[in-house]
Amino acid sequence: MSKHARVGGPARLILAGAALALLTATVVSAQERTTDQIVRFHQSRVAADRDDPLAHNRLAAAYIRKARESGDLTYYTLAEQAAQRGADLVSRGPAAATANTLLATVHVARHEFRQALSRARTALDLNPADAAPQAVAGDALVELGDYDEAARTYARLASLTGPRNPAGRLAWLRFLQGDPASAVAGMRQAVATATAANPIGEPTAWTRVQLGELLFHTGDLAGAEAAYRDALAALPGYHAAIAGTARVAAARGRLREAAEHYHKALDVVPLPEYAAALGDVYTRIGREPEARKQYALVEYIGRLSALNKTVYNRELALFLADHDLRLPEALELARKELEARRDIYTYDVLAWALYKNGQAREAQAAMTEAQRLGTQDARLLFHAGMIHRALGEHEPARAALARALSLNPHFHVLHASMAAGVLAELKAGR
Amino acid sequence: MTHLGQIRRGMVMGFFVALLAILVAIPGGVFLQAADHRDAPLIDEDPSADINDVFVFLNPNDPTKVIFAMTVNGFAVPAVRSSYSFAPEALYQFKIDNTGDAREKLVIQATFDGFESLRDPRCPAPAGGQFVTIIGPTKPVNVGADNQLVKKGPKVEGCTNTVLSGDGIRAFAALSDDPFVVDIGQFNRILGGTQDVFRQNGAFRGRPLHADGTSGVNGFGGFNVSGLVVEVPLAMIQGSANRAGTYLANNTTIGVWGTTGRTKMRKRHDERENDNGPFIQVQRMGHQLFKTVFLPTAVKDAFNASTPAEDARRVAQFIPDALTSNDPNGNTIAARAALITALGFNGLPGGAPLLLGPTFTNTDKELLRHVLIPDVLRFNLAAPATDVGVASNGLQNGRRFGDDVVDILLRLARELADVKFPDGSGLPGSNALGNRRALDCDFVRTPPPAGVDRGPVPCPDRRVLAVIQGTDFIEPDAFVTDVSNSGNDRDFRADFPFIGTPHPLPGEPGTVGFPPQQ
Repeated sequence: MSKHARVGGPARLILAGAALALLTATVVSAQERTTDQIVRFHQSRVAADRDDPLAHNRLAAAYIRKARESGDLTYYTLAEQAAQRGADLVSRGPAAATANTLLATVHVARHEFRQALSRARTALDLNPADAAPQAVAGDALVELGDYDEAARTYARLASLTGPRNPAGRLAWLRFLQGDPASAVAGMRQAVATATAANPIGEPTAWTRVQLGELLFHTGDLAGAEAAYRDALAALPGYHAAIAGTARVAAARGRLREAAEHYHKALDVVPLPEYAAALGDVYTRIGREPEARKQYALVEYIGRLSALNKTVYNRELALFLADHDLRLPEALELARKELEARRDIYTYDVLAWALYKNGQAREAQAAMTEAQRLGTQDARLLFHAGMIHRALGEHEPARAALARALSLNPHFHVLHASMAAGVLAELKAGR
Repeated sequence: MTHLGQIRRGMVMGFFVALLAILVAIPGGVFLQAADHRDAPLIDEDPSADINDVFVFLNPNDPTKVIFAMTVNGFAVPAVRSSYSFAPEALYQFKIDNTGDAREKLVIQATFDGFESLRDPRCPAPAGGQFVTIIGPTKPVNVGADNQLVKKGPKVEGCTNTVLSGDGIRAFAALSDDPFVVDIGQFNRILGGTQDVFRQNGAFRGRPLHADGTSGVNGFGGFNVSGLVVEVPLAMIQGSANRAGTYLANNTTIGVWGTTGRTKMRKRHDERENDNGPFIQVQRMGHQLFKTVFLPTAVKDAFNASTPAEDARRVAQFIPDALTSNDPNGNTIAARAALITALGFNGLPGGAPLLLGPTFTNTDKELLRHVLIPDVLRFNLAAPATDVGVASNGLQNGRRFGDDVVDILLRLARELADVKFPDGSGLPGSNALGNRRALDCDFVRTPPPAGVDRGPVPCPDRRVLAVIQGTDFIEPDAFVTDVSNSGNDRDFRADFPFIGTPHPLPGEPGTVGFPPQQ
């Protein structure tokens, strides 16, 4: 695998590119072909009655499904157009509410959280009995950092049975609020509910990936791996599950295997977070040139379009800070993100960027915001520990780093060992 | 070396390869999935527990047998058949009242194991993938909205998409053509304020009339549903109670409704015997469009959790008063018929003929409530199998797959539902509202000058507009008087299970109008 340089040449490059495109087409699962059929069918319904708001709403929902499965944000634009047509056709009643809920969903996907909340509330005014806009409003509130209101919003759905039950959403909120055990239990319930509704498909696969993420956060690598495997059973080729598998492999020190999985995930959807993680794996095994290629890819994707800049703003800030690249820009991006949302992870990225820019005092203020819920996330604790150390606060630094490592000793392919090293220094220094 | 390995090696050959790949693989090459937040799935309306329609009718080939049917998974897309299953953790029930107190005396219960997409081990292809168990008709363990699984009663079980028979009953559960027919797009536009009526007429904005004598679009055409059909001997459900003086009116009529329930416990296939609920009712259905036309959205969830016996107390208030033949203010059935006629809605091309006519006699303003409350289908077991029985006892007699039930409801409503027309308009019903329960509409308050677009029509209760024309004009005009023909887009089977076969997969014979691959 390290002999690739010998098989170069422009023709070969083009062939490889074409082959990769072909692969992308074949990895696109039967599920996606199914979704294409659904999209085409609803297109035909719209053609049969262009003035039927329900037909436009269903087409919009099909585009959203396609966007989620394929990772291609352009489908959200199509979804927006269809839902807007539905909203234009009726301004009252349940059909109008659904159109607005769909528009709110598109806004969430684009990180336009305030517009999402506003649209969801419009939908609720139109149909107070509709559960869907409540759920979207709650999701937007979580991103905006209004966790109490999000909890109240989700609570209104708690009595619903079947697939409308918000167990998965509440589980994530519980994790943020510092109760990972309860979060895992809730997410297991959400998995059971989603599976009972339909064992095959993206919603079930997505929920199983969420369970995998929570289990990873709690250091249960075997459990996380099983959850990702189950997700792949529900949706073969699902990029999020492949990437999760990669992360578990990296945590276990199986770095080559991790790299292979990340490559597979990138083959499906070239997400910056996958490229960054792959780069880190290469860095860890000392293959710097390959790492640099992946890091360059992160930046390329993050800047490819105006929309990408919005959507990947925070990811890019974290990436730059993590890799000591253009640190002033990282800080600028983090500050800009705070205008869009004030959730704990945005404060975390701001704190990390401030720390990397040598502003530890300001970083600590941001970190306090990031930790305001007591979230048991090793990344947050790692950042907090490093900031404490920079301020000479050795005891809190030691406590935070120890806590991070006790939650998950392999929380990050590079940072876990860094945390362990700093912790050892701190202990030795006492 | 696997293909994946080769490709991966290709990718690490250089950054440009990766970029090229992105540009080739992603249309437009620019927008990718947002991964930096949780992006939870859209929450759905729980389609597998959402009852679309309930049917009850005599088997026309053997009138000693009664057919019960319900449909769920509305708007199922034909191309993806295995995506739609009955919910394994749900309880599907037909409930039968044969005494007249609107409480179920008998139930038929259906439960499912496995999925069409993930087969129950007992159901290999080519059968359907779900294992269905039907028990009933039998006495329920308990009456009301919280239910237990019954243990005793006629029973059949087997795989979906197969006609199952045993203990004198037959059952069939499978993806099927959706038998429901309504111009739901136009209905929503009327309620939403962008159209006035179903068909263009005078100053009213509606659809234009096509050359083939249609103007409507069947919003359910082309879609499948999951259909559950059960046949039981009439003798099992007839009952001997005296029902005179009840809403059933006579001793051969039964009341029928469908429910779905969910248990909050996850049911495991291997622990079925230990899992007997309770199942909490999540939906019920009797008459077509009852919830859509009459109930405010805010009360629908409460209605779905309630029982028919509560309807008189909880939802009768939402049903309008009926016009009478002897109203002292002239707000009579005959006067309404005259208004419909004057508007040009009493015949083609602007409307359908009156179902009842000006001479229909009624002296009871409770008539619509008598007909609709409780919200259960009235079905006379002694009537001929083909007897639609419009307004003979209830809205109609039971419900066959092909009955034009939307038109029946809307056309009866336009002749019988009290409407508060604006003060001073001189129209019948413009007198003071008082304690009338009337649809309230002022759509004729400001008639537009000739040649001027009247713009949005002010109308607080737009249901008036939905019913004023009284039909949805999906079938050609030649069929407009035939309320036994809804104009469904697929034929019904000639024998059990009667419901139509599902729409063909793309590319199969019979595929019409499927858009080309893009």
